[in-house]
Amino acid sequence: MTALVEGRGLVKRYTGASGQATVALTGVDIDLHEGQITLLIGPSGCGKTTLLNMIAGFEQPSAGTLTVKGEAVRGPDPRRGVIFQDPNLFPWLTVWENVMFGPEVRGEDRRTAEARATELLRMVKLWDFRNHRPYQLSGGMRHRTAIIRTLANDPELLLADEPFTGLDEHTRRRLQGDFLTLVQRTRKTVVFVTHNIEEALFLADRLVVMSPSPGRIKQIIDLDLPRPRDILSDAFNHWRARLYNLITPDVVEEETA
Amino acid sequence: MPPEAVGQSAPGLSAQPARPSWPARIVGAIDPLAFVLPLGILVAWTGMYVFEVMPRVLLPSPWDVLRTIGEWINPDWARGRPAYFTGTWLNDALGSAYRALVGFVIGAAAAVALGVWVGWSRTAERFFDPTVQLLRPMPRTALLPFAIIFFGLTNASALFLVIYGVFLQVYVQVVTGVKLVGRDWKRAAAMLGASPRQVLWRVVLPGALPHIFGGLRLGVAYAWTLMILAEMFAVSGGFGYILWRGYEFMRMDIVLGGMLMLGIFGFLSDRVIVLIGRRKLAWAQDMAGNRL
Repeated sequence: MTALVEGRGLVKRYTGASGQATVALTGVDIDLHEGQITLLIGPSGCGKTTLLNMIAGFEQPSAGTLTVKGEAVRGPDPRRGVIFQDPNLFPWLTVWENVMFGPEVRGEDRRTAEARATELLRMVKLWDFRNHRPYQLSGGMRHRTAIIRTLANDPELLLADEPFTGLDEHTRRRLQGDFLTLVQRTRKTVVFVTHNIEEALFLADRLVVMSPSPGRIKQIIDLDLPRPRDILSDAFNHWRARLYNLITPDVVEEETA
Repeated sequence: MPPEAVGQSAPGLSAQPARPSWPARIVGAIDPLAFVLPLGILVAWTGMYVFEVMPRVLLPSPWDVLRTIGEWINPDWARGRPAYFTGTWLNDALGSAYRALVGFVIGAAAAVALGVWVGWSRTAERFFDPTVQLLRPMPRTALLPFAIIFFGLTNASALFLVIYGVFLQVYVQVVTGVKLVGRDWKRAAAMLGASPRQVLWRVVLPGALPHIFGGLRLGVAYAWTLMILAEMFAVSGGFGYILWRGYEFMRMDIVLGGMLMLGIFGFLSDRVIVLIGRRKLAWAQDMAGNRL
């Protein structure tokens, strides 16, 4: 397996308003493999979003090196698509215009892009809503639109930052299923941030468990649960307990700190 | 298959009932409640006239004011007592509207251009903003003597004053709007492949539109205010000129007629901006769940 993303000795320090430095991430080495779904999981303050933002190019590491296909990450790039926690759609554009935003600004061939956008919208049953604006849609539909907008660019790497947080449980499970189907059909490499254990176990090929103060990697687990995964199976519950025991002590530590 | 379909409504979902004709829509948009307060004021005014609460020379009746407006519009209605304003209404209206609206358009366009630049570029902000902020606290009306000395008793004085005032009013809103466009929208555009220039045109500008729109509404009201001031002192024509002469001749019917015309024209120009805003800002209205 080739490492698509390579991080070595990654550190991220922030300087607060009062001048004191906070260390968000320290000494992170990470390899992300082509075609795998990697889940970054851990309690608040473990630096999982910081790590994702660095891969996306939104933030620069304070120390260490980060490369994608051997090329240093310098800024946002359409080859690395991001799905945000908030759908973050452009509310002045329709669903169709949002989805076509990427191909248009990149100057991609219209026919190819429109064919792909059409197929994706049909896949998630949003085709009939293509002329609606985001705020005429339900929350779940907005999230699906956001995923399609990113996939319409056909990125090599898909970065998702807790995209389903704040949705009700049923919508969340449906979207996880939709997301997995889309990723498997389009064969994307994925980095997905979550604090939800069930979501992590449902999606992951590989689990990167992180812990806070300062943010670092605690353990990397290759998850061999067969797919499709049954969230009620014994094997799933076994992993649920194991992950719970791995993460929970850090949550307490963070709250008392 | 998608290119033909795009732009049409999806079948059965966003199908809307046929739009009624525009006169029907205007009648439909009239809200009876909006007329209660103006009618009350009219009744109170009439009452004050009838019972002579004030001397009638200071407070003429509503029908006196209407007759004066009639003479102002059509000289044939003057019936042998022509005055300085007889039959000049059309010229006054065109002159005032020209000064207010041309001044507004130029001032607002300059404010949007410079405001977007200053809101977007830190260097532009450092270069322009301190000067603008120094000029801003000075009342715009204080520039009238300067304008008259510089441009003489001409249209140019009025235009200068209107452009300057509108510019400052709109500029602040544009800068605020551009600065308040969320980081996440810009990040989303960047990761989708937009260049900084594309981010500016396709995300920052539409995202700042609600603030810009608010600035334009303030600006258009300000344009009429400054235009009137300029007409009172620097231009011999227009609503402001007629109104001020009326004051000098102690003709309160003319003063009130002039005020009424200004109110109507100011209201209409504001409505035009609101109607454009309702269309262009449909998305912001979706988000807020409210109509402008």
